[in-house]
Amino acid sequence: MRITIIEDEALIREELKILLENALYQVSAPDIFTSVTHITRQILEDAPDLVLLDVNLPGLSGFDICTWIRQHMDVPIIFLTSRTSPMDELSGLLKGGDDYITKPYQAPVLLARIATVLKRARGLEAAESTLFTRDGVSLDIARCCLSFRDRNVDLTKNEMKILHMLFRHPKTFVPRMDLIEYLWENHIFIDDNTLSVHIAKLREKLKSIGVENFIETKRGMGYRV
Amino acid sequence: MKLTDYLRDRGMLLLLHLVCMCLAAAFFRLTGYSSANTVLFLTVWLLVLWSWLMCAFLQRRKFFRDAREILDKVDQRYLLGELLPDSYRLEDRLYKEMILRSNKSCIERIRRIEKEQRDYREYMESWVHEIKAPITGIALLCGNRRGTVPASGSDYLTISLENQKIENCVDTVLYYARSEEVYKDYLIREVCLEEMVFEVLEKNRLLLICSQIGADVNCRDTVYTDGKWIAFILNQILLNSVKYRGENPLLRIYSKRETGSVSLIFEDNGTGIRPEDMPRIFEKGFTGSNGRSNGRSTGMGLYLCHRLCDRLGIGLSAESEYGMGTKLYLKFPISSYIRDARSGEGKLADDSETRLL
Repeated sequence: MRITIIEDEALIREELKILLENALYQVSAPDIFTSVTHITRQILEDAPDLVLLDVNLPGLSGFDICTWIRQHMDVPIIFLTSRTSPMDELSGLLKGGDDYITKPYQAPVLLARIATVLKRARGLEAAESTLFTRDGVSLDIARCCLSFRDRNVDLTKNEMKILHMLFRHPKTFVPRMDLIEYLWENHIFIDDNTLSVHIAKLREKLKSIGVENFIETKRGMGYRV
Repeated sequence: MKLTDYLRDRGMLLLLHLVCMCLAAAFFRLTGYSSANTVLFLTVWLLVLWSWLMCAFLQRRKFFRDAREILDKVDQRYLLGELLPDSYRLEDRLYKEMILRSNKSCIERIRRIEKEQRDYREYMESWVHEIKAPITGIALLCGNRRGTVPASGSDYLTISLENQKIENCVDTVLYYARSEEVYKDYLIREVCLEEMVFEVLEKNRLLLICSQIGADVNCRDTVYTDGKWIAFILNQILLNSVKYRGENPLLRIYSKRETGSVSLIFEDNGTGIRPEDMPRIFEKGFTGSNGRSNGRSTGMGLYLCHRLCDRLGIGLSAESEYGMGTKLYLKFPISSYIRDARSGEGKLADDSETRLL
């Protein structure tokens, strides 16, 4: 998946690039904004799957670039801007933008919306694995349960999210802070103590199906499976 | 205008007439007129004088009554000069001219101040938008580095937190600048309260996680309002709860549906508000005993919330027990029109279902 970033603020451009590259996108970000033709030629050459477009560019407007892109290519466009008035949002969408995100954006929100727009544009859903296995213990996201050999145990939503995060990063310690942050991103607003309670319950459940010392704790580092 | 006041005002004229009357009486007496004639003459004089005074009084009274009526009806009273009724009297005309000149300078001054204020507000808005670029840059940088540079991860976390504080302060400025003209900048649509609450919690997640605060959210209701303003109001309320948190802080955010309204209740178990502070918490610049002991309160947060709620037609009220926690109620009215339309739809659907059966 290729994404082109049109953003004149150097720091934001570089950091966005890192953020998106970490999320496994291919990113190109032109750093010259002399004329519309220059930028549009760059976009044509890149032929990206998505364009992130800043509205306020030096000497030109993102809306104009959007109009031009719409005339020549059929690529999804997300506006990134610090303007927050509904009129700007409306004109952004009327010019053919697919989404409109205001600065300062939250990285997870931004990534989620990029994924949504891409998914909509491609018309297919990236099939995410719903079954994780580690050391014979398997986590079934679809059925919300944990199994070891022939024994099953049901999980609550919170416990499942915790395990999901741990299973996605096998062999590495996931810091408590990251774990809690991930839960918050999934609308589970728990604090540090509650996480400990959940982990304790998870260990009990693991024990009930005959698994012990599956979740390791390292003080100051976090948990790992 | 009372008659006695008017007569007192005409004192000099009456005195003049009295002196003249005395002189005339003395003259008549010296020249040998009979006293009966003198009395008749003076009576006629008094009668003429009296009726003249009465006419003048009634006229003046009408003039000022009209002027006052105009003044009462007019919204901008400084425009009186233009509206004063015409008068044949020289004095009135001179006064009117002077009032006109004075009003003109007053209006010019008002215009100038209004323009200055508008320019300032516009500058504030564009400044806020400019400063959001570096804030975004810092936030992204910290977010990217936090995972990859473990040694200084906590430093980046601290910077992120401080950056978030800057963002909140900047937002307050923006919304204060805009609160005057909410009507120019809103978009009423169906808003799911839960989504709004999630957005605000997610935005402040670092602060909340680091403050060890948990939240329990249950508000599935939808209301018709402007999401952006509601998000700002919720953000301010949330920051207050964080600032005045107590032991084992927990937020409970839930909604209640009542006839004609939906209430969003924002409950915390923080320090609460002293009963003597309670009536004044929505006042501008009021910090209260909590704010003073905290030392970092500006007294703007709740004032702004109240002001914005007023503009948006949302009822904002608070309930608190000192030491136990605070409950803030946001009451969104539901127009009877929408309610009827809704129930109408429901009825229609019911009808079609029965027909199908």
